[in-house]
Amino acid sequence: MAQIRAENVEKHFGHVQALGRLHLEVETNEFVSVLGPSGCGKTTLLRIVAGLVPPDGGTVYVDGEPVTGPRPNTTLVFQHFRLLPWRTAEDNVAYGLRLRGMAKRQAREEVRPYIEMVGLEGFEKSYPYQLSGGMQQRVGLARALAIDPEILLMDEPFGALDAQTREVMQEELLRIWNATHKTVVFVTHSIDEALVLSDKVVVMAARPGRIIETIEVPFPRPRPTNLRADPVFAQLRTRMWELLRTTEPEETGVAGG
Amino acid sequence: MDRAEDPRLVWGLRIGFALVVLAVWQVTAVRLGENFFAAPGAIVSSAVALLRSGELMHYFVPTLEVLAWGFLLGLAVGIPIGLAIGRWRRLYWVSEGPINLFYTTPLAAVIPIILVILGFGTTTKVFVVFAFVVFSVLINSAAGVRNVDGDLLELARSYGSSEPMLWREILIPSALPFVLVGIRIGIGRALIGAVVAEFYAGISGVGYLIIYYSNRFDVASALVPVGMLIALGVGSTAGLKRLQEWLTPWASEARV
Repeated sequence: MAQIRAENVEKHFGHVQALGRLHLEVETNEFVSVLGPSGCGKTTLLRIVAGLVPPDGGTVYVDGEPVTGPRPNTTLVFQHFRLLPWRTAEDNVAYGLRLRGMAKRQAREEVRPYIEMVGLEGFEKSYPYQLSGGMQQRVGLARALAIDPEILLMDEPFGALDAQTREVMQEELLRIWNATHKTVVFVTHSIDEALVLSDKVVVMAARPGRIIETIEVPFPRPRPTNLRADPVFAQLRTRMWELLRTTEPEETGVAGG
Repeated sequence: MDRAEDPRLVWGLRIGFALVVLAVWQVTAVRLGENFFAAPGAIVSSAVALLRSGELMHYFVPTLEVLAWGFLLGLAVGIPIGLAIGRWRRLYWVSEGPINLFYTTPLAAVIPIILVILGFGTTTKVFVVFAFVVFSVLINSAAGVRNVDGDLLELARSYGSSEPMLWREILIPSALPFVLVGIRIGIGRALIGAVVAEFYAGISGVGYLIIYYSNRFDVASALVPVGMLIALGVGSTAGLKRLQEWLTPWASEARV
């Protein structure tokens, strides 16, 4: 049974149909990327799976139960990090544990392995404004991992980083995923990122937001570092590019009509 | 700035400018006649005389007490109510109009009425200071909570935060810089409130001292308590700034 199952999920914003009868299944421990142009509803889909907004129609099931609100076994990683500016890196990582009633000192002890996992040693006492974007997202990632969720929902987590930092973070995420094996839904508009990271890529189109194709990524794990040189990579890349290009909304299209 | 600031140059210029102003003031006052235009030297000798006789402290201590009580009451009432108004929209809808009304009321105009109700004692003065302080603190506290980053509220929701933890981890730290701004404005308003109340309610405090010496055309002596009030305002504002840097390092250093 799929760990996440979205059935006929619909969402409207005013007259705009953000998602139209969308169907999605994600297996336990599977890494699925949702790839699509901006405005295709991929973030909306993620927010519905997270229980932050209710769908207008259809249901999302997690572990067979309908989602009615945020769940303790699911955490989000955000594009713009959303760290608490008034807390140090380690206290930001400890946020989830603190909310669960753990004392500050104990929470700091508990998050040590996660701080090491994401490579934040030596920056425990730094405030977010003292950290680079990449380091801030390491904090964001450690915060999500620290409550040991089964499902990680990642909303363009590396979208605000420069190209080089982005690739470093992708490698870090692969390494962490290999060690922890979470179920991951990863929203991105980068084809390369989706291919490097995922078991399965779901390609979406806009107006209404819908899935037009699901592509299995055949590369072995752990992923070789020269993956981008693989001819199959180039092939899949071209195919996804074609898919995205043909579904790009026309200039003359009736936006929101 | 094209060059790094040399603190010796900065302070040299500041002190030099102050000396020039004082010199011009002294010369002008002596030329115009010191009856109506006190010279710096005359103010200093009046201050020494007032301090020696104990008169200054005799009048200044009651004012300090009024200030402290009114100010603390203003914070104790203004901060929690402001935070609550910032958090709960219904409370905001109900209170927005009345608060703006009270905030814009020229409080000095109602002091005679307050005197009628509360009498000529300390209670009136404390109440006036309180009234001068409470609204600026309240309005800024409410604005602080209302200005919280919506993304952080959603973060809290996605992590299943309880209401007390939401206050502790997000709402209060987020509102703190605003609350401190409200307090800083409140300091200035408290000083105005205390003196104006003493002008009306008389016979004690530095307000009375100022009126007393002004009526005798002793401008130099009247300016001594004014100087004390300025020193008090400047001192507490500077202290608050230090407190702000210590309490909210992210808010000040983030802009460097």
